[in-house]
Amino acid sequence: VNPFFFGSSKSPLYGVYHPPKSAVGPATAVLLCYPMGAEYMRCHRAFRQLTTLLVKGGAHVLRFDYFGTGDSAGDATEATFARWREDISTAIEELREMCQAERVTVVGLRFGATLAAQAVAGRPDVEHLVLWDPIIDGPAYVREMLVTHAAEQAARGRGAGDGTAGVHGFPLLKSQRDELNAMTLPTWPSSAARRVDVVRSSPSDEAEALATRLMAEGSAASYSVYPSNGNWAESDAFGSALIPQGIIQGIIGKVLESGVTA
Amino acid sequence: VIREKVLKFGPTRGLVGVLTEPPPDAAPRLPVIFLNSGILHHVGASRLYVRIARKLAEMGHPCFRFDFSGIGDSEPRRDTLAAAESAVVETREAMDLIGARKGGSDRFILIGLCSGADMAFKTAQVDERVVGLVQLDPFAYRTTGYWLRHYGFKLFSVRAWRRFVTVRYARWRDARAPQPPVSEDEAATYVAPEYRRRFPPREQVAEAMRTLVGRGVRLLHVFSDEQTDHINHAAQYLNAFPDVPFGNQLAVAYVKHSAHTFTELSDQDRVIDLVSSWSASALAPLDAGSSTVASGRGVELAAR
Repeated sequence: VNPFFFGSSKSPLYGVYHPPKSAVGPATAVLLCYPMGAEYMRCHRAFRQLTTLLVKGGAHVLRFDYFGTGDSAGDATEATFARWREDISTAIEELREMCQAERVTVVGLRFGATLAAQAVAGRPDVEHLVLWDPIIDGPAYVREMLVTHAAEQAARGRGAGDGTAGVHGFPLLKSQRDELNAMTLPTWPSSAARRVDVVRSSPSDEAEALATRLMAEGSAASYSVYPSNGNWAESDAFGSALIPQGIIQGIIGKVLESGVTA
Repeated sequence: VIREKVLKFGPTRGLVGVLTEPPPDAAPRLPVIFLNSGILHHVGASRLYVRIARKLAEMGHPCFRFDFSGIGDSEPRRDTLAAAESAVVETREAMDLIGARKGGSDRFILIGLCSGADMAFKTAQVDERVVGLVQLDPFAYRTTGYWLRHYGFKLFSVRAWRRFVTVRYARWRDARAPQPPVSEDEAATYVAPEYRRRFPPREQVAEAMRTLVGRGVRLLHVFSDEQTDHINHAAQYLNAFPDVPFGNQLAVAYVKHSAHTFTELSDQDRVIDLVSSWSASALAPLDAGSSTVASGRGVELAAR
């Protein structure tokens, strides 16, 4: 495990690089993109598990925190999605340099999948994209977060307007809400000439439609369901982890058997 | 400008932490070490530890947030030491690491939430380098006042009685309803590690507190509004320990309406204010090397 700071010295990003633990065939370089808000906390252990299995399979893995999240510089109230997309590009460059890779695979979970798809559009060095329970319908995602927030506030005897517009302890900024509200399947970025695996923990017409659209655009896209718990948005007062082994195993297969090497 | 760096330590360098360093021109103050709460990694619940560390670093405290073995970014241990024991060992290793750095210190402040508070308390008992302790939702014990507040007004509240009947009926109904089977797949894939917290006997905690107070350790205890099975008012903590001469070494606060992990940003702000104010008042004498033990009954900070 090699934790380090990278990127701009004024606002460094925290990353953890895991070198491969075996030399099984040609190496793959994999960047993991976290979801946002409380889902970042909830998936941290699952990402660690995914990483452990990927490096055992011979992959180089980099997972990192976006600006204003986790250990990276900045406050959450200063974060923008545009900045996070830039951070993904910075992390791709860092990973390529660390393991001398020409091509990388990017795996994103929930909104991390969405950001990854947006960030890598037009990048020839990202040959493979794995979208894990991607957020496709932005307005529905915003509604889900705000309903949860309102219910939590009510349960604690606070009005919906009391406190902040935070969701499970993380701010949901107006600029972020506006961008999410404009995000739907038709606005999903094209991933032509790239392999894209849309993996879901439960069936989703929307995710299947995304894969179909990407195929029509010329991507080698697939849609797979690995029945697992995917309640990433759920939270409790004590902090809990979700480690859905079924879909993690599915993603390992997609990444290591893709034939995409560094 | 504060700077952060990653440090690896421990016998196999498998432990990972982030050191937040104060601005170079800040007057040096005691280092602060943050302990994981449950399985939450070193950024803390909702990133609370990061925010506290950066605030304290601005005030001059070097702050070190690390992961216990097997949690967050740290590797699992290779021996069979139980987690409750290894946490103390690793916290002491973190103190060794930070203490040996340039401008290091042989005195430390520990901060922890929930199980992190328990481990900080446990470490403080066995390591005299700990001179300050911030416990977020530490052990608490019921008093007569607790029961009066708990039941007092409810006896005369129609709403409370209605709720009592509704809840009891729902429990009775749910207990009789057939339970949906949990599939093997679901049981195998849904892993929500549980932290089963056991409060020691009050006398045991009182004895340990007397030792810490006798050593001059400064204490800040902040309670959320989610341990209501144990505590429902800041003053209750002091009343539960009439046999501990806290003096003004203890400050207690109760953050009304807050979740156990101080989830709301406004609650996080409140905790950050409490910790930084406590640093400015209670810890300042320690920076000068004083270990005076004062008299009194402890200080109840204004609750919201």
